[in-house]
Amino acid sequence: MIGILLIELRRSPMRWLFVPLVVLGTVLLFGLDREWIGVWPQTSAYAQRPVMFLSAAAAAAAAWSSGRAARQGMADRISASARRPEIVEAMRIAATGAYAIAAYAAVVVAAVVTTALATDDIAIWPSYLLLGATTIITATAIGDLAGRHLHTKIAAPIAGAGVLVVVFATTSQPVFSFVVLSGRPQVELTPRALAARTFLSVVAVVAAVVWSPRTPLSRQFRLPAVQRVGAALVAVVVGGLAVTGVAAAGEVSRPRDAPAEPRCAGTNIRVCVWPENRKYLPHALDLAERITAATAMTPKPVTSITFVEEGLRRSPTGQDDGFPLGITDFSTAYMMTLQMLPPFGTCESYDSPQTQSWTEAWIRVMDWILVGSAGPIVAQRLPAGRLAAATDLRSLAEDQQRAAVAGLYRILEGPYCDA
Amino acid sequence: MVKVDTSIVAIDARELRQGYGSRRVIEGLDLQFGKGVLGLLGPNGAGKTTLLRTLATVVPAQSGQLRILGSPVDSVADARRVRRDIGYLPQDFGYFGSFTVREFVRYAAWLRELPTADTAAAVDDALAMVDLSDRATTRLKALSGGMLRRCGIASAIVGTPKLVILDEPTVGLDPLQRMEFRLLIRRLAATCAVVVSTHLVEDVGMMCTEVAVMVQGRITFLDTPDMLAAGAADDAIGDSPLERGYTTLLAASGERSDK
Repeated sequence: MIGILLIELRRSPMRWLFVPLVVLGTVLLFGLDREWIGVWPQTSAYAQRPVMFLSAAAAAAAAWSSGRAARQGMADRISASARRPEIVEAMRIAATGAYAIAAYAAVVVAAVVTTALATDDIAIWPSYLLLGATTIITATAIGDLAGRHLHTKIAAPIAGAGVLVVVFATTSQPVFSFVVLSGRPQVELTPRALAARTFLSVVAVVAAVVWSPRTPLSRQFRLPAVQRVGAALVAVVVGGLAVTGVAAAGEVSRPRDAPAEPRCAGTNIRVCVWPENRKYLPHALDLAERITAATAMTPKPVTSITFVEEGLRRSPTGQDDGFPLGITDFSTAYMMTLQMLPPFGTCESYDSPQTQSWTEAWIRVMDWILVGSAGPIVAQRLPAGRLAAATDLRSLAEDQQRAAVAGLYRILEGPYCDA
Repeated sequence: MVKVDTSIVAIDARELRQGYGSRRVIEGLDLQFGKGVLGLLGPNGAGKTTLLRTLATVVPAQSGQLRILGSPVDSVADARRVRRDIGYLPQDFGYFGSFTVREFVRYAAWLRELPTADTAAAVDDALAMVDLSDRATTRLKALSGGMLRRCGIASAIVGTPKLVILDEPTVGLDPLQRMEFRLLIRRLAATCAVVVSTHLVEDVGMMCTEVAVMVQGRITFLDTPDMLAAGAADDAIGDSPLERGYTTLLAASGERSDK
């Protein structure tokens, strides 16, 4: 059996695609974004992202391989052999799948080694890697089915393009996605979704192995009609369960419970993040200290506060007011600043002069803090008009700034809604 | 009449009927064959290839009884069981061009479920028998037609099956290769039953212990080549007594010999 698998490996079209796929996967891993380095869930999720292309290539190669028997006149010989045709087909699928999984593994190893060198532990999130593997296996099986039933060489690009389109199109779908783009520590893949996708991949492989195309030969020694109808019913039910199971399993990811002991830094000005995001802690603390220092000129300087990353706590109103990490410094600084300012109220109407005045004051204070503390890169993310207004305010003498900001604070101390 | 080796009945077909859709190709065929080499002669369209495909269990008979190597062939499981002992070379055999010669023969051995431990030696033996040992690592797509045919023969005889069925195996072989092939078949016949379909009557005379002539889906003659030659009419067409015996038989069956 191993010898035949080696023969199939040697003649698989994936042998030509293997190195380009590893290179493409590595380029995707390192070329677009490096925020994942040092964050294990992100490392695991990012290592799984190249599956979008790997699965399409595997589907195309499987379609090419499985159609080859019919194209080259071997289908009769195989179906008339002592060896069960299912085993022959399984060898072919295994060869294609092995290359795709090996290419995937190479990308995963590159990601894991990179993050392992940047951290003091190894904490791979296997759920993301399993998700990628099930997608590759499902795509390989679907490609094999397409090749066996279409026979033509065109089945390969059809299967490859089809898988690519489906995987890409469903990436943003919370329920039907087969690849996830991010591995934020605040979320995790659900066991149900993973189980459903694993079941789907198993059913797809079994279907590819068992479901032979109808040829004059395939009608040989047919089962009695009752057994054939029974087999067809079982196939429809199991196939239906596999597909609907993915939908029934619900969203592929869910929020995680906040950790009992988040990683924190600082004393009076304190920052807490998810343990997995600890690499951001020094930078987040620096940002927090600069932002709070900027309030020194306000009537209410912030000297003691704990900023928390999103997902770690809920505000009194039930909102998650935590700051995000790993996106941009602007979003982090913005949300930190938000935690220092009075909250917006709830009004019957938001069009009143009072509300508009309050909101404008709030925005001016926010922009003034950001421009004065968070650095030019952050400040430049503000809309041009707001950046200009805040820069003008910052360019005033300190006394004038104090007076202007005090005026804005007086508005913020007033009601948000129109009386 | 037919001589059946009672120690092993390779083929026992009774009232065999076969066809495609409504077209009947084999009609009430009886054939019993034991050991040796059975040559199958007949004009184009007589049903030789269909008969060989049926005997090789590639297609099931529409009706009648068929036992191969003593086992009935009534189900997929039956067919798979007997296929382990059948080496079959179709007339237009397909192949994966990217296979090497050794891989192709090994693949055929695997398809026949030859024990893994025996496969390597069996492949070497088969390649040696068809004189392709020095081409073992050559890709099939790089072989000449004759070499390809020999490779196909090697795939049919690998592991010394009990029944070897060869459909037009000498097509594409040069005269020297055909002579070697005849020697090979005679050697094989010492250990297994061989059924060979051919248009070349001289091949039958040189290598077959029995000859069957098929006309319009029926076997009209089944005996030794000598008996076929003995039936030749004085005015029959042909370069040898066997050819004349064959054409005499066809003429008696209302068939043209040049079909």
